[in-house]
Amino acid sequence: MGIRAEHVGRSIAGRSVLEGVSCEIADGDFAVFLGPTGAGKTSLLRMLAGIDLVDRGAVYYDGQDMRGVPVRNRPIAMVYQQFVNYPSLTVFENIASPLRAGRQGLSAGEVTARVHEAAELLGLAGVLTHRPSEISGGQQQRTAIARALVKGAKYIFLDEPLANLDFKLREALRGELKHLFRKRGGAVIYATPDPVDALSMGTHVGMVLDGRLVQYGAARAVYDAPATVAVGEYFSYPAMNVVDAALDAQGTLRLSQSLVLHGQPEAPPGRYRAGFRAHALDLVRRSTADAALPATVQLSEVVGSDTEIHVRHESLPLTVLTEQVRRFDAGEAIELFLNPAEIFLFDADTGKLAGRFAASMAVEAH
Amino acid sequence: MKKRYFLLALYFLLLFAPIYWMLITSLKTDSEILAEFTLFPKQITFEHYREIFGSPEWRGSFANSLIYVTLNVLITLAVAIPAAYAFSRWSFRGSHHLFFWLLTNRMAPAAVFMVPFTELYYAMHLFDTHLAVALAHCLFSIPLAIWILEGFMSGIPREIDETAYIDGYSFPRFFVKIFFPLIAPGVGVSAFFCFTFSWVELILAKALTVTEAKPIVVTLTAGIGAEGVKWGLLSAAGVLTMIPGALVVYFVRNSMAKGFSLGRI
Repeated sequence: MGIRAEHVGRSIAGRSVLEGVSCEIADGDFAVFLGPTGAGKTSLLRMLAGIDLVDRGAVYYDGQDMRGVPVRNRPIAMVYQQFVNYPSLTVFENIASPLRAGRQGLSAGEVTARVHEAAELLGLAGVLTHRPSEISGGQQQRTAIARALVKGAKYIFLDEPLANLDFKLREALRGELKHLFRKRGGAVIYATPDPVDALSMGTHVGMVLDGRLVQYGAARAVYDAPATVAVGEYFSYPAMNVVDAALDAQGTLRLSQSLVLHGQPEAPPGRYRAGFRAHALDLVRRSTADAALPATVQLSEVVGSDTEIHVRHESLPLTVLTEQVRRFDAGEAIELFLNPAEIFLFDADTGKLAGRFAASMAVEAH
Repeated sequence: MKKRYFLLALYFLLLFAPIYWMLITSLKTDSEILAEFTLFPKQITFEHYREIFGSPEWRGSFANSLIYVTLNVLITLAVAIPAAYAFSRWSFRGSHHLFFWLLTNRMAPAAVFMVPFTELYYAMHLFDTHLAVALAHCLFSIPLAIWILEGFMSGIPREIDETAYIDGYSFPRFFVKIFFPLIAPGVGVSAFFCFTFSWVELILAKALTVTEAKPIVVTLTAGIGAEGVKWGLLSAAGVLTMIPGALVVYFVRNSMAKGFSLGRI
């Protein structure tokens, strides 16, 4: 049981903002809809929640058609990007709101107990008597999350809840969110432009691009087999290296003048766009299958305990992510090693995933 | 005193001079007013105020004005709050044109409507009633109130409405419990603008009433008796006429600036 969307679409002022979205979110899932700003994630969330009407298609909760069921009768809660709380009510009243507004008929004591429980969980116990304008942004968003939790709704929708928070708070709350929602019976539906959110929290990932749900599936499955080059480029951090390549009948993949790999490709010969993530490249040889390639450093930056290096191999700009802290000078010549097992072959015309270049044999670099 | 305060002080002096003059005149005896020029009454008297409160005509005029002004404010808010909510939350066919057209109503001078209103109210037996003046003033106060309230309401994120519905509020409960407290300053400012307009408006109020609903502003302009102009009496009435306005200003003073910009700050 869970949420099922069938060919859902919506138009605003005659322009389609979302088209043909079908997916199934099971109870217990943490579904993350990933996509750039304006792709339609928020629209999708709002339609699944029932805040916006579905122009085409249908949404089912536990097999029941939800068209025509008003928001207030749905088992949902929502947290917005802009910390939405009732400005005239205290934090306590804000959290208590769904318990009082609904027809649950709780006693005052029960309401107080539940509010305190949620406030405790989110570290709001000290600010319950304050108004939302008197507390920090992080606390405001926690208040909104507490209100969503206290309702006990089966489906919780979070629309970029961390986007307006500073880095530290985002990191902290990201970790907490995962735990907060894990024990619940229903599903969490989460929209974000940040691939890190999807990787660290999502059990399932849906990639929304240009008003379409391009791919939906288990997070790991999407990561390991991006349906298109666009999905691969977006669902990577840092972005994926994409190189035009030719594959011949002998299983030889030519990426550049000197970088020619032999493998057992899952795709037929032809022209491809070869994609490999930044950490498929490294400064050290990790297996005998790795292919060596010479490169010139353009720019390098240390990101925490990793180093991101932008290099040029022949005329190709590549990005390398290595688990070392090292400084490089611009123009420095280095040797890189590419793991052929991590190369995806995307159709040169359609951008669709044709298969992996699963090289297993020795690889030679000319 | 710093130089920059000098001009300010001068400005306030000029602004308050007539009000001060009215106040002291209302406290002077008639003989003092006519006999000499004094900056402060030699002998403070409340005889003019006593005369006003003792006269049924003056008392009645004050009551008439307060009644139709209150009616006007109540009708205006009852119409403008739902209308402003619709304009701020929904976009319907022609909503933008309609919204602008509302304000154009205010561009016509009140005198233009004198004849049609008089004839219509005669026909509907509304002439010389409080409701007649209140309704006539609504023509001007409702568009203004809608504009002000729409500005205030549009400043409140739509997500608040949505969150309330998700929490389980019905529309009426949401409106009373959540939404109204947020727009209360806007309601206060709208009421203030309706009040001041209706309280000082003379042309329509004079044209639509004879005796039953004769407003204070009309009585004020008729304060000239056989013995000449009753300066003291008129000043006292003037002071009393200013008090309700001053009270209303006091209550909405914090939201006034926002109101003058039609809620769009």
